[in-house]
Amino acid sequence: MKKLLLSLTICCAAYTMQAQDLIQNIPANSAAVVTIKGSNITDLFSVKEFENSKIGQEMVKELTRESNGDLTSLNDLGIDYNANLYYFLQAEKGVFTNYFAIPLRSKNAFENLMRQNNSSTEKIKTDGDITYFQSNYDGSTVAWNNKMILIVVSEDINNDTDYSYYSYNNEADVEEAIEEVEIEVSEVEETEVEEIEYVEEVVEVEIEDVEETVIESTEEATYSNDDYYKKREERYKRERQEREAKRIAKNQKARLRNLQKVKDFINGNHKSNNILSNKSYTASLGTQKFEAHAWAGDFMNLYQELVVTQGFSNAFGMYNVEELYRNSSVSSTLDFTNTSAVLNIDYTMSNAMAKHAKAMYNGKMNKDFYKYFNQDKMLGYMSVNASTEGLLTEYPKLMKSMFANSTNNEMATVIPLGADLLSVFLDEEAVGELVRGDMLFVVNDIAKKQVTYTTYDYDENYNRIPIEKTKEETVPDFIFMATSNGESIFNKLMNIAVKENEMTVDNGIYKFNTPRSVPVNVYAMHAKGVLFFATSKDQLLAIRNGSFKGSVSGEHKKNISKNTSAAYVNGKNIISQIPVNELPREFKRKINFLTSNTEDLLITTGKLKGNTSTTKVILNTPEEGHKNGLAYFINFIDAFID
Amino acid sequence: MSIYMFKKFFTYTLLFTSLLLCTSCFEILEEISFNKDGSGRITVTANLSKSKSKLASVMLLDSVNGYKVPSKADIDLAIKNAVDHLKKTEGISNIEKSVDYDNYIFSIACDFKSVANVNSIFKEMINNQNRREKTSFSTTNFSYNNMNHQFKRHFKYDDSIKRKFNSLKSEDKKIFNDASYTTIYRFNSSVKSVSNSGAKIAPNKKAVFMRVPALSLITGKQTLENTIQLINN
Repeated sequence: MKKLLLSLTICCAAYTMQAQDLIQNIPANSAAVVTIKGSNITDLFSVKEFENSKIGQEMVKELTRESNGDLTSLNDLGIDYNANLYYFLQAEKGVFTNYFAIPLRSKNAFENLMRQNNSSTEKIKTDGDITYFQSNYDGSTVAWNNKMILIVVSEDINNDTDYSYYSYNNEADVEEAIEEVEIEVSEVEETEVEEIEYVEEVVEVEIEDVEETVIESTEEATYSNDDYYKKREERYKRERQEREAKRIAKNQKARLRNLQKVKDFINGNHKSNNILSNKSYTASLGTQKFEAHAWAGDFMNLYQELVVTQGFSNAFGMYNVEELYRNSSVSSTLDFTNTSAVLNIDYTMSNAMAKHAKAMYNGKMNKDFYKYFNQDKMLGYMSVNASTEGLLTEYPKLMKSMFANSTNNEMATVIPLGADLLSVFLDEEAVGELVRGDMLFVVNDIAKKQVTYTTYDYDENYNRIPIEKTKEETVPDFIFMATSNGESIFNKLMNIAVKENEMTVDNGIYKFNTPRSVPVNVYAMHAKGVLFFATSKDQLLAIRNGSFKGSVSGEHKKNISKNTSAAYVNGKNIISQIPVNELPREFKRKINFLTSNTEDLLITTGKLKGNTSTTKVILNTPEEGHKNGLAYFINFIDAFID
Repeated sequence: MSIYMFKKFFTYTLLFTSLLLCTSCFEILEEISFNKDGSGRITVTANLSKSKSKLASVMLLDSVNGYKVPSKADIDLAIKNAVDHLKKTEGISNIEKSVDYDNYIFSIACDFKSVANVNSIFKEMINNQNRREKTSFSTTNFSYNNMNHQFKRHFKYDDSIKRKFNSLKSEDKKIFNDASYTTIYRFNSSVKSVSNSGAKIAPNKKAVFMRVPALSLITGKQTLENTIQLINN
């Protein structure tokens, strides 16, 4: 009971805080919503601090220029930086509408700025407390009142026949027209020498402005009274007028639609059924400590709006999309802490997809791997914790379920049959013995290596003598490990490779005969139930005789073991290995910032929890010199702006 | 899929270290063994061995820095086309090519009846270049005057070389830092004098050697132009 009360209190607090928030105005059926959490961002980095950064100074300079000196700070613009900013997408009956909603403290400054910069053809109008202007091109609408700015851009993909205004037919007409103009010019050149200059001039002007007026130019450039030309010109004129009429009608429709959407949003017409009543959305919000949040709801709805409305029902019927993607959604948050920037992506899949994924990634990481590398100099690693047996069993099943109800009879028959055949021929368990599915690739170090190259010496009579010289190069030192019980299969394969001269063997360690140009040697070994590929023979020998001392922290062990996949890059170690002299001059100036300001990057994809897979991208940021992760990014941009 | 991911990770690790940390340079050698009757043998060698680590890594990619990376098949085809072109050129015979991908050394050699035949190999290519880029490269690279026994290496600097070079990105320009162009001309007769102060005459007087840093050629500070006066003996 206590728990329930606590949860209710947290929920109420979260939503009360949003009482005056623009989220209240976002309709429940939105397909995607992006939130920029104003107060969380300004807590981390105030508007004043931003204005003092180089990028902020540039923005203020531009703002002052655009407002003829009226606005001298970002605060003058009247935007409420402490409130939340939203983008959302609505897909309804083949109409895709993008909304950008920006909270305002006061409309005056913004309105003045718009009036100063408004094109004379896009008149600013007022409807109640809403002021707006609309694009002549596509009807997109910028509207505002005292509380918010709303930008609405929509597209109707239903029976989009008037599409041709800017499409192929028109291009063909234009090309045809240009061709005709050129013919006219050549005719004129031949017959009306005195008028050449005039005609060429007309043609050039018309070609520059081809979309709008080139067809007219043909009329002007036509010197013949021939009926054919007259009829053709009339046809062009008629078609042009038809297209223009369609374009105007489409634009008018878009203007009316967008204005209605503006009114619905600003007047709060969706408040009774807003996005906060969408469970998938509210579940993705969590504790709302993020600085940015993005959510995309049921993929199937979007897919249906896009594909089915467009009439691609065949493509829709080709795959069993419904079963695999119904109720799939994705949400992500961006969160800056004092020492990191964390991007979190949750992908919730359908029951069918989750069943396949669970079997495919039901791996168990071999803990012995941690004995075989040392994290001191380690530059990075990548791990995959899958199940080969699961992959081989589930993949044919996935293919079968994808095409089982296909409207394409051939696919519906052939693909499931092929999947069955694959299952019959493959002994999943046996293949799983060779490579179980848990694998780890570690870049141990960037090592110095003497490499040879050929150059020439000359005797005293300048006869060329090829000689071999050595130079030091920096090459990656890595080790790849995969759990395997297939030692005998491995040895058989290696022996074939040795016979084929692809490999050499020494004391049970196989060496790939890589071309001399490849700067690294790669060795292979099967020992202790692990398949190894590595650049250091010494490391493999030490692993085999048990003298290698591995050292890996608990945190890295956890990242590798507990996740389906993990990739780690030790930025600090990598930067320290880069010889500054080798870098381009302009980069050298910036290397100092990187040397003292680069930390680790970790990307993990966790195991499925329910139907949800979570991917985390964590960029650790240095504490010193940067008060938090967001400040780090702004300082980073500052360091790289010239 | 996992193996593919690892392979990609390995490729990029190798590429990252190679591109950042390996040096790149090349040398081009132009060698002519010249007979008294005006015939001879020319060998052109491109030695990229010092950059082989970088090249081996770069060739794992389709393109780098916005330039398409030729595959081995592309390079083989280009060399085959060059050989086919030589075969069709009058006065050219005994064509030999050498391709070494372990060291990235490529060379083509052929016999010629007269240096005019050698000039005609590149004539069409140079004419096309001059027409296309509005340059004024000479189509005569070599000449031999049988009367006064003078062998000439012609070279006309064109500002377009510098312009092209300056248009490259700084990291691409670095390729030329350590690069060189070497000419070696061997004669049956003794060499009396050379006009290019950078050229050296062998102690036995039968060969002339000159190495020019690529950057000096590009900027026009040095030239390949050389008049070699032979003694009629």
